Amino acid sequence: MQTIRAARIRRSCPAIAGRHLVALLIGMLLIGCGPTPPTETTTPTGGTLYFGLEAPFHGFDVLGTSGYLNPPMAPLNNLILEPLFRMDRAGNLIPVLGLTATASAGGDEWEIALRQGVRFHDQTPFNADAVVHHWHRILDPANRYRGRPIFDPIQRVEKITDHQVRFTLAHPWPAFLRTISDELLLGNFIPSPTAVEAGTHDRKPVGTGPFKYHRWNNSDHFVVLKNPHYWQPGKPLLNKVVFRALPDHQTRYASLLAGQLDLITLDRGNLIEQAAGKPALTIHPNPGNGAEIILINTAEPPLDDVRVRKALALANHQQRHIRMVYGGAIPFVHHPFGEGFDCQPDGYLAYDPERARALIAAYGKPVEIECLHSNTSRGRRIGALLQQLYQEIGVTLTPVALSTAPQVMRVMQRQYQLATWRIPPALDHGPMLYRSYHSQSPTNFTGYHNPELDRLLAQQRVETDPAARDRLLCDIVRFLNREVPFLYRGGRRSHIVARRKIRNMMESPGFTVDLASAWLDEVTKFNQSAYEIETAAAVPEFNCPDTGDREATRARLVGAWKGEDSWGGKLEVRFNLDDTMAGSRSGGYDLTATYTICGATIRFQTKLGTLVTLTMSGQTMAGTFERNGYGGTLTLRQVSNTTEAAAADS
Amino acid sequence: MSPPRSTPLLAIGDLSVALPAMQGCVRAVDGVTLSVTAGQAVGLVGESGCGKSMLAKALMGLLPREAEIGPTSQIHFDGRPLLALSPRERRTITGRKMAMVFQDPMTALNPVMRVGRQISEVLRHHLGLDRRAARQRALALLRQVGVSMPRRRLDHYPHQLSGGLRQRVAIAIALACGPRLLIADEPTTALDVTVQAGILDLLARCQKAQAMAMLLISHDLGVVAGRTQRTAVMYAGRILELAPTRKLFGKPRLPYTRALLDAMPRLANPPRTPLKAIGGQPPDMTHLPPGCAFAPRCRWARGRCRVETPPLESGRGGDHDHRVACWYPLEGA
Amino acid sequence: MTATWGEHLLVTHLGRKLLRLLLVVLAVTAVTFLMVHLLPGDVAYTIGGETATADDIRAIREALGLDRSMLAQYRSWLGRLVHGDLGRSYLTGEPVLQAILSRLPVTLELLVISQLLALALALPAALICAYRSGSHVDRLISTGGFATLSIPSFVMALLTIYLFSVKLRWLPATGYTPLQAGVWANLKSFVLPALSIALIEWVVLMRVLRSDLITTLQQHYILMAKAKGLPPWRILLLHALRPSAFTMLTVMGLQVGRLLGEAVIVETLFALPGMGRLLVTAIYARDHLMVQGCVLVISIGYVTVNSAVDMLYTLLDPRIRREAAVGT
Repeated sequence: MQTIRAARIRRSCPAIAGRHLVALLIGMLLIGCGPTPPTETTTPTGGTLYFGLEAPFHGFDVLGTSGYLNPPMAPLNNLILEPLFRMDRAGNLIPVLGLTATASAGGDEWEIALRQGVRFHDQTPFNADAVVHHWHRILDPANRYRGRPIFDPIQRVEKITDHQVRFTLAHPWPAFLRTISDELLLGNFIPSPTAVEAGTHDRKPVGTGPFKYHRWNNSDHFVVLKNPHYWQPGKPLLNKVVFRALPDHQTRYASLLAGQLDLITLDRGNLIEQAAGKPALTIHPNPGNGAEIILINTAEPPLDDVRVRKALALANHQQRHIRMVYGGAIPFVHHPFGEGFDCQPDGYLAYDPERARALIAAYGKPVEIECLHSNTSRGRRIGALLQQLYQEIGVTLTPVALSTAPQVMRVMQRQYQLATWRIPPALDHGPMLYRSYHSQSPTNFTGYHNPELDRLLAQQRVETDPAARDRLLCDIVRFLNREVPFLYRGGRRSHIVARRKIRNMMESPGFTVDLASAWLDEVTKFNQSAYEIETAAAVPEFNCPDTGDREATRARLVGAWKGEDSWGGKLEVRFNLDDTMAGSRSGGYDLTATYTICGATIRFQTKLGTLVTLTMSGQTMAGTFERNGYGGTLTLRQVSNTTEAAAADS
Repeated sequence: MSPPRSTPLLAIGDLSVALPAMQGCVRAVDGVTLSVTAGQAVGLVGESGCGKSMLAKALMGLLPREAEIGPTSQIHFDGRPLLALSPRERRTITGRKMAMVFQDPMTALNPVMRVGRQISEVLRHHLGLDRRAARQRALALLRQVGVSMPRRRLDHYPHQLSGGLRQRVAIAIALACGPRLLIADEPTTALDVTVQAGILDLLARCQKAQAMAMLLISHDLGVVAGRTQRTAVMYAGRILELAPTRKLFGKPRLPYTRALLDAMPRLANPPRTPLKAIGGQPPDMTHLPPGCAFAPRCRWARGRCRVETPPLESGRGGDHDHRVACWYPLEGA
Repeated sequence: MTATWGEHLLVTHLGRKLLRLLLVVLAVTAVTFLMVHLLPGDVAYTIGGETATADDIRAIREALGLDRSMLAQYRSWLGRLVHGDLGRSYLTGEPVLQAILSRLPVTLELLVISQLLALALALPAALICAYRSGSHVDRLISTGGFATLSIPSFVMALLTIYLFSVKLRWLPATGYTPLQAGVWANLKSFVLPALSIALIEWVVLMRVLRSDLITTLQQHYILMAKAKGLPPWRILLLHALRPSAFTMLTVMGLQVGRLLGEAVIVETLFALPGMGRLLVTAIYARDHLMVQGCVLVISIGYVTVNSAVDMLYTLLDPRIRREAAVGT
């Protein structure tokens, strides 16, 4: 059932597969020769993109966070700040602010060459000092950085030259590159040391990314503007990206349909399925890793008995969780390492209530347990489903709805039996597994301890051979599936639903999206000369032939614009402002506008995003309509005094 | 029947008003025929609940929505058939040519509206006066009805005025548009005895001064005496006696009227003369007996009285002015 | 009564009101403080997240001063309050006062517009129903009203979004446009949220006003007004409405609290950056300085609105004016 659903989404959007390829190709090009100018010389620039996120924004100071970026926050973070490296899904390193990374012979030192000539948005130069400054803050024990354990093996970071730094490790660490190129770890992103020292970075982040901070308003919207001095020439193509926080998924989706947003994050299966049926929308499933789980406290009876835990695993129907709680939006998993990682046979305990009943019978005592879950509707659904599943095998489960703080508190104090939990996505799961299930780890909340597991967990930390390490990770998975310190509720997959007009939106390897090279299709026919016209800051003025008055700047546009745009949306614009226009979308076809100046009237027709040229008394004005959220503006500038065709490209 | 001496200002013909009650239907007004000539004052007397207020409301068009008017009923005012007019047309008469003073001035004035506005409102609505002119006229009206410090009173709220003053204000409102007919429904019942006479005299004075017809409704024969030319006595929704006021007082022919007169205190009587109360209970309008409604309480009632309803007829002596609905009218005082 | 005497009365009257306000605010904030502290878990767990260790939690609590006794925390909160300092959010570091001030106008505008819309619906409906009470129109409106009353506001919100934004595309589906961006654009962003509150709210107001109007319409002064020959609309609006509005105003004042609950839902659905959303997020995160700040502002607002309703009474009914003057 589940697989069929996923396939349907994919089939209805054949463009997705193609885009994957393009993204990959471009990714490879980047690996090969660094920054490349955009391949299409006529790629349109400009425009504003509206991005609807589900969570409100948090501060950007790394010390104020737990280390992991809230995945919906990641696209925003990725536009402003940049890491040293990114990593594609095949494990290839993509140079960003770092150029090369070279390991020492012993494997416990890495030298990283930094990109030269890059400046932060505040003009602070990016160099070894900036990198060292950032890492000192993270590693300094006095700062008590909570994400510190993730980078545990890193001892210190030193400057070698202005554009070279050295990372010194406690021991050879095969996951080093994987970890420092993880786009969901805020610690990997280099902020401007000036802004950090000034204490302003938290609320006004300053990085080296393609977009720079412009405005952050009340947990309502976050605006970033094009960084005109971005080190990758030709990027970014958009002028502005507005991130808006819309906590409710229904209205977030409705805003996308109403044309107020261009792309949204969405995790509700029913809405994703609806969106798949709309030609104007594209769906970008982001195959993540990690897992939605139920943590088990193995320290106390009856859950200290592996037979009971196994019974719970056998009676737990993961596919039903996926269908009933997530509407089929997440994958079915046997391990947290993501799709494409194979551990067969992995010992996953598939749904088998008969065996579960037998194990409970073998245990011989009545099993009554409690499960903590969030007090959201989704959390309650999980509780109800578990209650029903376990009733079938004679286990009494009481669901307990809690808000985040008390649930985390009870888990941390080991005052729980079952609790909904998650394994966060990561490029490398080794550190997280170690922290969560090693007997000596302070964050092993399951209380599970086994010398054999400890040995495997310790071994994967230092194994340098990738194949051998993968085998170790699989061993750990088999061990966990056998001993059941947690139950699976599903894997992780994020979805971004976008309007079809957004082109070249790349799925970033770090389970997010890259908007640096995205562009808007509504300006397809916007040619190079028009671009120059738009940037020429000439004030439009007309000399009226009869009176000689100069009045064009106050000229009035009166008319209505009805158009169908290239992504299937329909547009109607009414405008009656001086040189801007605002309007709303509805049915219709072409733009018919009347432009009155010096007592004369010109009618013209055009399409959205096309060049509008007006000629009057030998003076020509040109401009384009730019959509600006709900309305739009038409900016007309004077081009020349020569006589030209009245309306080009109409 | 005598031929009409002149076209009456108000001609009520066979007016019946039925009200739905708990059990069936109450005929609050039952076949009343009455006319009022211009400039004439007519008294309408009866015990409370006899239907006299309902008659007044029917004339003003203020009957509750559920009230039903009999199909043969007619009210002609100034030659216009009121019952056939649309509500809008009727409103051009009500409050302008035909006005009413209510029983209780304590509740008849809007408590949250200044006195001046309550008077000028009528003027502005009916006569189209502007705010200033209406206020000037309201001031004059207050003077006319004998309100002291009228300019200050204009800005007072009703609760700041005494009962007598309030009734004067109510009269000023009624007189505002110079009506041709004034209906005064128990205008003094709710007032202190000390101010009652003043109000009644004011009404009589205004009636004479403006040559306005007046229908003075009261349960008290003393109120209509000397202030009206004719008086009708109403009982259980019907008019049982109608005569020139002086004749009625001098020589009542209806036993009920006689009883009412006997129940009145008289200055001429020696002190401590006991008043003669009317025996029995006022009629239960939902269960009227057959025949004459007053028969159960009537000393002179005989068998026919309890079977047949007597019509309102001229007296035996051919006295057209004095009509009575009684099978055995009294002869001589 | 001389002018100075009147002024004296007014001053004592206002003084009493202020004193009452102060007491209410003290009581409410103290109780809130207690309640937030009694809730299991504190903001340290929210900040720490799923990967924090017990040491992390201890460190966060120390850094935020959460390790001190409750009384000490409340005392220092009051101490700073006197100087106009409401502290900073534990979660975002944003000053509480600034956070509230930036969100308050949004919620105020939402509530005011929704109340105006509710009144705009309730007044004519109540007038028609009362004037024709018991008729088909009355029954139709009352039944329709009850039907909308039974629709939860989030369903109402989704219905209005679907109709006016997705289908008709007249209004934005979500989001807030500040007043600086133009009055019309600002109002447009409030129409749907306010409507989804008003469509539920108006019924209550209509019912209350209708029954009071019916009582008023049986008063003698209404008969008197009819006897003046005034048309029905004039009687209803000028004579009947004002003396009938008391209960409705009281209800409006008392409903401010319930409206805030609606505002939470509506602000979340329509992505409006308002107080309701701020408060609920703060409660869930146990961001208790933020909770305190919000409760402080809300309780001041609640008392102020209800005092304003008291004052409106005296404006509407001159009789109360006299009683108040005599009473104090």
